[in-house]
Amino acid sequence: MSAETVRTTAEIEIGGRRANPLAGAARRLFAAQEGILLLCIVALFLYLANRSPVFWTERNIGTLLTQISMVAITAIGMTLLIIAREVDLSVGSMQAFIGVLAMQTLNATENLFVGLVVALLVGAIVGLINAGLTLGLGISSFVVTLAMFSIVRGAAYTSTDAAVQNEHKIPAFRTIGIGAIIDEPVRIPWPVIIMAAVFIIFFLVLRGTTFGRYIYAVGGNPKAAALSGIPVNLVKTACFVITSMLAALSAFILIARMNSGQNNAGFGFELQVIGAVLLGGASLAGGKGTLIGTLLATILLGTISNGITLLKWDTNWQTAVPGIVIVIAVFLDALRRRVTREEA
Amino acid sequence: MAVAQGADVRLSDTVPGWKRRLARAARYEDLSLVLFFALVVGFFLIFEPSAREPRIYPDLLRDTSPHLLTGIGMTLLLLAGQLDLSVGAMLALTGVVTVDVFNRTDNMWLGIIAGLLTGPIVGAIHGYLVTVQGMDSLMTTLGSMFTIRGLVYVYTDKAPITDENGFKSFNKLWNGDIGPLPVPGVIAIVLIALAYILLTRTEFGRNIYAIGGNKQAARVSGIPVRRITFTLFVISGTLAALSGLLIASQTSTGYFDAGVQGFELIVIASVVLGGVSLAGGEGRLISAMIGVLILGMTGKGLRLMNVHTTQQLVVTGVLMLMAVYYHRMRKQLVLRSRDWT
Amino acid sequence: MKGSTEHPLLGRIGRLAVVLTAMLMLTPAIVLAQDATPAATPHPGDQTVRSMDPQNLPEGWTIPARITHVTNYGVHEWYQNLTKGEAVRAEEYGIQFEQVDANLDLQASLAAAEEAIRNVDVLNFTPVQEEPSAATITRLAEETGKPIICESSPTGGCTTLVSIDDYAAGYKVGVWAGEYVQENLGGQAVILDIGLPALQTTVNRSKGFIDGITSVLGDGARVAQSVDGKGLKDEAVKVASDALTANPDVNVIFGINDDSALGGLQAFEAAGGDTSNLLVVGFGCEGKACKDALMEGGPYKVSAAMFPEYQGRLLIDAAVAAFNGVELPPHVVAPSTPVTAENLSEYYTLENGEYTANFDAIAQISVEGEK
Repeated sequence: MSAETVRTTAEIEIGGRRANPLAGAARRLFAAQEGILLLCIVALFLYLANRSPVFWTERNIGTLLTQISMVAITAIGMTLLIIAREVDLSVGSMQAFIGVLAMQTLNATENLFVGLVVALLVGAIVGLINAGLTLGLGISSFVVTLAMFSIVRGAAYTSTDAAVQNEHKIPAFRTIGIGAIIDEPVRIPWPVIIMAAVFIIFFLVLRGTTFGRYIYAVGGNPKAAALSGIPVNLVKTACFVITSMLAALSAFILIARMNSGQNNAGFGFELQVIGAVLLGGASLAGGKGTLIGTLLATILLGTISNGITLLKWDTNWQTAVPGIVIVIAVFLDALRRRVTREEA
Repeated sequence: MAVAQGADVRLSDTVPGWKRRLARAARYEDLSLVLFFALVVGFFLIFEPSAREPRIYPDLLRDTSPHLLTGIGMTLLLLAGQLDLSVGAMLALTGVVTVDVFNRTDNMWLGIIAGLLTGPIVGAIHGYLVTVQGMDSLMTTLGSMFTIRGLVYVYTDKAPITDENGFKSFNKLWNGDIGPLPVPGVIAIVLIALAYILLTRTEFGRNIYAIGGNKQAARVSGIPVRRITFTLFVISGTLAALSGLLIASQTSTGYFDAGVQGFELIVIASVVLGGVSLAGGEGRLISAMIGVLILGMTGKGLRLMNVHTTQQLVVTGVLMLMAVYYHRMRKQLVLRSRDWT
Repeated sequence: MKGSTEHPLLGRIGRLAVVLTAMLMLTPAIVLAQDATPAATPHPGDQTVRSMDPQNLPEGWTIPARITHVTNYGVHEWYQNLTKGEAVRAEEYGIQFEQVDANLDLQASLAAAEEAIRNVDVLNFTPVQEEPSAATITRLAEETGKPIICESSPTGGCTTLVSIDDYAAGYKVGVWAGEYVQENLGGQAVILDIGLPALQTTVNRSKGFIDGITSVLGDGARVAQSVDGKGLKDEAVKVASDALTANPDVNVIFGINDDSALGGLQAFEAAGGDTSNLLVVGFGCEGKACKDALMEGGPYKVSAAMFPEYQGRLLIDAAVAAFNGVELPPHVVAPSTPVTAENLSEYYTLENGEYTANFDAIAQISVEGEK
């Protein structure tokens, strides 16, 4: 019965022309950027599962998801920020700076909770500075956070000679880095569950709350949003702070994975994050983007990197292949928009 | 505010004369940036004796020539509301192609032509993807930045390609001098002049501003938006290739990692510091070029002062903020001064 | 310039005679020190650099007023410790020493060399990348006539290079690893090589290690995979995690620096591997991280130590010698040796949580046959 309904809808959508139901489903899938990413991921998964015996194993999928968790968590915040028509280029430098500070705090206090709170607080402060300079001085956030990218990296270099080692030996800290929340029936590493929790929270925030609607409104048309009484600056500030705090959370996971705080961590991290958000369908022009798109894009880029190593390709391809995939995905998206006559 | 409305005459009387004169001066954006540049140079002249050597300044022009050249293309693109992130990777591609052709053909001119051709070819691909396929320029060039860099890695296997013939005259492209000016500086000045004429004296230039200001309106008023945008990508690619050629001349090698330290971001930051808007349609070429010199001089001055990387990063960041804020203040002053007269 | 120089001994019969006499007098020692390979004749300039004493310089020598080191990556611990060593030595001579850093930017590095050389007597220079720096360094050397002492990578135009022999250091630590695997891991080594293909020096480290371990184990040594960790710990953890999934039988992890090796170890632990059957081999051991890891007694058993503090001293000594017209060999080889939990205290003294290098012990390390 329900299958019948689907078929009917599909046929109506195609506008009376006779077509098989598969084309209708494909067309609907094709109607959004997420569909294209999903197709790319499925194709890539099938290819890798076929070529590498270890790809589709619990261990590899666990590693893959752990690897992408840091980019994904920051990208979730960045999605909100980019929807609100702002951007943050300083998240990579924060991986180093906040990571070092967090490890120093952990060493000094031997308290996991304090370390985490300090990391998040420093993140919030950096976010407030970004927001203050952008909104208070009226400078574009691209320039403000490019300057902060440089300043925060400088701060990271100042805060330690090279790296802060784990001297506190808090067992729970190691568990976050290398342990799993459950081992049966499937092993779920801590970073993965943290990523999932962050995703669900912000998915609900963006979909179901006034704040979420405000973010889209502010980015879509700031003047109209301001006229209709939306506190534009407050909404944008919140997005800046959320992005930085999630970047701090990523930094915390990173130091747990490395078992040290490195002042040279996170080079190029901002490009991975922003690249994933934009590939996921958001636009720097604001007002547009979804968390599902961001997550799918992160998975796609992470799987490419994972696959190249698994297949033992020449490491030189690690740079080229993601680039080619980005171009292809953007091309398919442009094609999709032309077919569906959607406005850019 | 309420008082000010309808009381224009009285208000303009209350504005002191110096402020009016300042506002009048502030209308000249290029002048205000020259002033900013002079402040930076002045600072180093006072605090660093070795900055007083006259040799430093032609060298500054030489060092920043790749940024200036690429900056011209970036400014034109930004004015039309587009962006090219692949320029850093282009430096590597052009250098590798140039020197590889040197070694394969033992002919300098073939190498130079092949190297320079990478620019219009890559630019045309970008232009095609953006204008015909309707792809977003930021994402397209982000993707091609990784693609080009990655293909260079694959081709060279991350080993620099050395010029086996050791073409001395090719090195002159970077090292040579024409009178007191370095050759790359002269190339940059000539091309800046040409671009300036193009931008301010031709319909093509006016159309660039129109497209960046409002694409839909430009299209409706019959401006060939696609053709102009396409041309700009070709220009930007060619200028990036020319910069790559200069660096190949400086190093006598095709270096796979040329420009990898955020060359594209430095160029974008420089022209934005020079007042070019990221949103398109706003900015001046000469100001943008002074923006490049400001960042270049800061780097040079800090190195002369032996300032450590750590502080260099912080100072550069703070300076960038100051420069952009300075711009904004200037613009506000100009806007407000319209009410005074 | 460097390439066209003949061996200085050939043109200098007088000095050759002196050396020959010295060799005759030292014959017993040389015979004892000789392995199967014939020992290279010690270069007189090399000997001079290694035996300099700031308080007791040869008659007629002058001390350069100013030396600047243009580093490629000053925030790295290696360069921090290296330039500390240089600063200490420079102070002993009364030389004004400064450091300018290019922060991995080739353009900035070349501009810095150009700016610095006019204001100094000797330039110490670490290229961001050797070949692309050669043209500028050669030109500066010709234009100014000032000595340029290079560090890390052989660069055209340099008066001499002061650095370890990366291949030999890798080979030595490879032999150590081979013997360890022979005794403790059943003679079978499955190697994960966390390299840095962008630099020739680090490529040589990997090559040396693999040749060294193969020389002991023969067919028992197998490279499962070589990955690019970019010399960074976060990158190393990432690529090693994937590579270890593809090669679960890896029992030897080699990293071209300590961050790479320690990153590989983290990835191994995260994958739940049995670390009792694992050997991790690092390179450099310039920082506390490596020394602490060695002393911990875990799988991180050995690192090819490069002694940055001592190398900094050699750099200044070579600069002073070059300034005084001493003819230097193309490469003054800095000592390197595998350090382990057992012998670390020979080379470093631990006091209040800080390690201090023992220069006397380090100077004793043989560099014979290394180039």
